Amino acid sequence: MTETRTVLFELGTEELPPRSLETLKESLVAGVVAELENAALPFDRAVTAHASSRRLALQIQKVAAQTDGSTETRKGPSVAAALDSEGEPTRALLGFAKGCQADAKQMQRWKDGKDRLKSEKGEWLTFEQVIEPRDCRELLPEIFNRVLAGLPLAKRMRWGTRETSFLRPVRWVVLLYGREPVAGEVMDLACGAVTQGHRFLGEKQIELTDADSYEDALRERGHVLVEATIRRQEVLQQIEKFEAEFKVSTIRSEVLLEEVCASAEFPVTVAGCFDGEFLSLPEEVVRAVLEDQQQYFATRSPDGTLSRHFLAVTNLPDVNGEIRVGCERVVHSRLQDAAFYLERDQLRPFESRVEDLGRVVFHHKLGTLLERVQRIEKLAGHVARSADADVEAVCRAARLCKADLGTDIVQSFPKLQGVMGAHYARIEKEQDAVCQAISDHYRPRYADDVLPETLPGQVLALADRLDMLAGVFAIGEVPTGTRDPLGVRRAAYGVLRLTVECELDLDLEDCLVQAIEGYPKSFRADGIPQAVLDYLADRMRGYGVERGQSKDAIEAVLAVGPTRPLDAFRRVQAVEDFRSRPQAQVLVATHKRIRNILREADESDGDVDPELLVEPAERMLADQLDVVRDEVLKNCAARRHEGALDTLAGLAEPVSAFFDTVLVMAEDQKIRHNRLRLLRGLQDLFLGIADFSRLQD
Amino acid sequence: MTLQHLIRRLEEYWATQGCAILPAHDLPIGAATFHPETFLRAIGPEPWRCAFAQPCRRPTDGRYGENPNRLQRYYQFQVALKPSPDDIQDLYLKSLEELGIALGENDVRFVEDDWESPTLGAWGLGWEVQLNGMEISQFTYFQQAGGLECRPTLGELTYGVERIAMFLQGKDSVFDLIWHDGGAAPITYGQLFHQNEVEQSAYNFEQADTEKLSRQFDEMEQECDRLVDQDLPLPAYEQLVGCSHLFNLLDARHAISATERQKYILRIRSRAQKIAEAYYASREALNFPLGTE
Repeated sequence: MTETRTVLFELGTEELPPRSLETLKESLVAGVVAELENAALPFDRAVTAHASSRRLALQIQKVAAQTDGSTETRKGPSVAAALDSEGEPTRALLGFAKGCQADAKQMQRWKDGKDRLKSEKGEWLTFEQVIEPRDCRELLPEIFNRVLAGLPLAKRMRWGTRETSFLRPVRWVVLLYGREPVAGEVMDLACGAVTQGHRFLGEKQIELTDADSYEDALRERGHVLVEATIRRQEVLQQIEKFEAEFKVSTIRSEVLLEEVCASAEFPVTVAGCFDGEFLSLPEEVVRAVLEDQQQYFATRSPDGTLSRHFLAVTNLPDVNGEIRVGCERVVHSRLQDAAFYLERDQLRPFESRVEDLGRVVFHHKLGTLLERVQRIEKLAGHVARSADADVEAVCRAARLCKADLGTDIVQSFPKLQGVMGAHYARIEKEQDAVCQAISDHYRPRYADDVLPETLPGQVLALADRLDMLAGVFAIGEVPTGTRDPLGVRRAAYGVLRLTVECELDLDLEDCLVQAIEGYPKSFRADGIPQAVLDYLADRMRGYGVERGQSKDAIEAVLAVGPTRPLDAFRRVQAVEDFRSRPQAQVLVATHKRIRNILREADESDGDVDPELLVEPAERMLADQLDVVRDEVLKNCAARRHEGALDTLAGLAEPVSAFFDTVLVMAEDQKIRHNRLRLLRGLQDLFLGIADFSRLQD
Repeated sequence: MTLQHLIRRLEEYWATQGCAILPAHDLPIGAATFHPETFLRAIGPEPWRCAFAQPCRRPTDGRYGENPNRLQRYYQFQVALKPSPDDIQDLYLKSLEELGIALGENDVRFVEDDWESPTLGAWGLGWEVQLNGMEISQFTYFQQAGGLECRPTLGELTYGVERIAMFLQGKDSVFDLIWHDGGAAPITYGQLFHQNEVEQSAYNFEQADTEKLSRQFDEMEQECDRLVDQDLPLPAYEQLVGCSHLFNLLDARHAISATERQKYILRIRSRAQKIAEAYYASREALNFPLGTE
């Protein structure tokens, strides 16, 4: 291979949104790799991406100086269409020649009968297009322009008088091929070799002389740690130092850590402290101030309670303690604000806030929040009875569950909904179970969130979601595409997790019928519970697959229209276990065969007439079926799916014998119908568990 | 540095950057963005540079003068630069240095903040600027105003002057800020505005007559429509600014439910769009007297 060098590309920007950096890096690498491959420019696959708040950079190793040249055969007009009776070129050929930039010599070759492609369909003129190798220095600016234009950015913006757009304004571009600056324009800026250091610490202008030493140059001269993992290491080390010094442990959140590391080019951790009086505030409030409002880390004392120390990651060292004082002042004023809200919220009885919900619209077609609370209250009572939960506690929690939405503290910290409700309820001496359910009923808030711990919380969480699902389907506003303002998908997924993982064996059809009862008459069209069940079944597919169930087993169970998610989930599990056994093969084949026969059959309803059973094998099957049926139904009723399937497996032998020796489609209509009824009975028994005919071998 | 001095320093600094130093808008507005010299100047191709100190009214933020950090009327120092210059961030940082903030010793950060004014049909991207964790400015590249694309882009810098003064003077309460120190005794922010906070909070939360306010809203709205139809976008805009303030007052009285709220916002926005279009047409008819970028 000829000489290769490293390519360095750096896009200098104004401060980028920190949470976008990781995905930007990934898309940038993917885009560049695809473009380089497409351009046939040889390079080493190991492309390194760097990102910090003010720059995105790529180092591409071993890039060749030129693209691989190649030739490509282009197919032109057919000979008949290309040359007229005199053998002179037609307009079609002239057009093709122009497109290929063919010269007179080439034209002569075509006239002479050369460069032709013959097949049984006819004969065409061809042209050997030579694709010349291109210099990478010419190609790279084009490539980066295309990659940047194609990045999936959430929100693009323009700046100044420019028409280019990006996440934030782009201010400089570095493009080096080894030690050589590459001329060209990227995003309307001239590429150069000069980058900028840290906003306040490093050299303002740094001339880069070598693509390979980018990281070092930025660290040494620019005071910038451009590599995310290094910034992270730094921050973690500093955090550990403070943990040892103050004897506290940091409440580490991956999201927060990533965010603070992405928003500083030279991260320095500063430790601050707030007044002990604020430790009497609910922990969630203090953490919301520190973590969400300020992006600071909260810490815990050895006894597990919140400590007064917090850690702030800044963009430069705190040389004279001013930064610490500033951070403390902000935290103090924000905690003071929160304390003020908490105090004011308690000026009136918590329960009196329920009536206020009548003035808050939940959804313009689904009424106010008060109406919603009243519906949930009724539905939760019903679900509680079915789930053997403490009905009184559940209903009380349902009544209070949205009352905190109007409080000042939740208005300022929406994330604390539920948590604050439980806090205020506890102050007013509500039962523990009630408080816990109020706080828990929002769970799961996202796909893998923790589920409510207590039964009343689980029941209330279910009622909350079923009420919403029933309403949304009643008004026909089922989410399509990515728009889902009410969180319908999340709610449906929550219903599955709550029923399956909390082991609530509830009949959702019954619950949904109740749910829709809560709405005005005009909402109660037929088929809404079924529509919701279908939607849930659809979520069940993804849910099951994520948990290792196979698609066909899920389909086999869903095909029989189960209304209890927990039961359905377990049935899939039982089918999965069962399918590995030899008898399963026979039964699956049998089910398929029966399904095909019955599909064609003229008449199969009714009971089997024992008098009409003539062959020994069919008598045997009928006898066995009678024995097995009771056993299977008993097992099914007790949700012992494994037992039911075990019993069913006992039919494998008589079934095989039946098909081996008995002709179902007998001439005699009575005998034929009787045999079909026998098979129908067998199929019904199968379908009590699953549609085995959907299982793949 | 007194607050008075701080404002003057900013005026001097931005004047040397080519900004016309203008008086505050003489109507109650919720943010300096509502000043016609920002909002309307953001529309169309004409270049523009101005700066001004603007009192802003946020009725819901009133605390009867009892909270050291919250006011229902406070000052914004506003800078509008159109087109936004390439070195706009450096210009801003330099202004902080002018005020005596040592950039190498304090943590000045540009923290992601997307700005949107649903009533003005305007949005932009930028940051809130934090000084040692405290928000001291808003920094926005206008992308749309009155539903019209901003070409070129206007860069808006909004300083929270009280916050910066609290930092510079080392005060924990806004009311302890020194406004002016030249006579026998220093004049404090509290002496100037505390009574106003107490009385206006009482008005905003207790006394404002919601029926009258909503009637006034309807009237100003009608007047706004009439004036737009007469091709008078500037007087129409004054009516709209009035509507916006009335809406804020109604909101502070909790007189607007969530659904009604949406409707009010829509009523203001649709008019802001009409005014924006009328204003653009009127400038176009004048051949864009300030030139085109």
